[in-house]
Amino acid sequence: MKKVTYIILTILVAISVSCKSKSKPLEVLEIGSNFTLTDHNGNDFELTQLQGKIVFIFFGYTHCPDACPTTLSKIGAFYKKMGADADDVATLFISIDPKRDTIDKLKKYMGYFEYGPIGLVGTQKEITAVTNSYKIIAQKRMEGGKSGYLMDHSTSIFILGRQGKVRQLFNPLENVSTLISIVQLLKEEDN
Amino acid sequence: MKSLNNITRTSKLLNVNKLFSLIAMLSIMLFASACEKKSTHTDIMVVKPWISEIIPGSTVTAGYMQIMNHTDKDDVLTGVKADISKFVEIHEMSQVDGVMRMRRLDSVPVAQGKSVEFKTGGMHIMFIETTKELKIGEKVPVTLVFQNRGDLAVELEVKSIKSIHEH
Repeated sequence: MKKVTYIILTILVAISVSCKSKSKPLEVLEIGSNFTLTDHNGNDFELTQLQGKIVFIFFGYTHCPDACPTTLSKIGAFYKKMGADADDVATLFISIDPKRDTIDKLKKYMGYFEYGPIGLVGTQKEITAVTNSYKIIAQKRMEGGKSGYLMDHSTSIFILGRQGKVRQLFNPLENVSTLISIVQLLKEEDN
Repeated sequence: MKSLNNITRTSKLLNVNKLFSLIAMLSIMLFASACEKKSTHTDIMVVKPWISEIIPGSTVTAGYMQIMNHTDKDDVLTGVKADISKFVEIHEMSQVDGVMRMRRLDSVPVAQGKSVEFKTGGMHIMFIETTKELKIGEKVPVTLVFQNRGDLAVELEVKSIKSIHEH
């Protein structure tokens, strides 16, 4: 009986080792580039400031009642689960609604999330340059309702490696555990 | 004399048995009617109604719930009234090719015997230009307006949007 258990355990270990070695490194995606915007404290912010960190970039707006707070909360759950392991992961929230999102509004909004996401604003021209570079859709749509206008926007989280290049896109409808796995893959590259 | 006693005892036993049967039958009938009452709903039911606390810097928030139509006919949710914001609208989110689109709905059908869910990433009640602060745990009175049922008062519990991922 002991022998059988030993054989089964050996097989399981062998499978887990072979699975681990199979995990492919994430490719570098040919989207995105460096940008300069204004952070929620009113300071100039350049993406290269975060070189050496893993970075999440999420495009949204404070007038968005569902997808944006839900996604930012999901990122919050990531930080909570990772604990100190997420100290080298930074989150950027780029407003695609420069008309309504002032620096002051964004500062208050970001302050709600304990993990310290950095809110970024810019002129419409600056924001359009960034959304074009990351190939995201951010369209104003008049609804005729009381919400003024709504924004159709890409909700993917862009995950950048330590060199500032986009390595993976995360759909916020997926589980936090998937986000953790992606970050762990990037961290494995350090070894 | 002995046989007379036996007859009396037998008849007493029969009466006791009859009494037991009667009590048992009554109990079953009472239990059945109680069960029947429990399982028969004749109204529109709202389950787990909640509203996200307003994030500082924002003047919008969203409400969620499940609406179950236990009436004997189809109905339509035609609007929502609340005094925590200037405007209230019904919105639906949908993700098409990675793009999140939000559109306003004029009404939401709730077919007889069916339920409709308002949840994050799907339909929600959008409160626009909020005029009050909401505290976690507070109950926000809201009126759902149905075409047939008329007004239905519900209370949405204020929760943190952060809590939905904390499992």
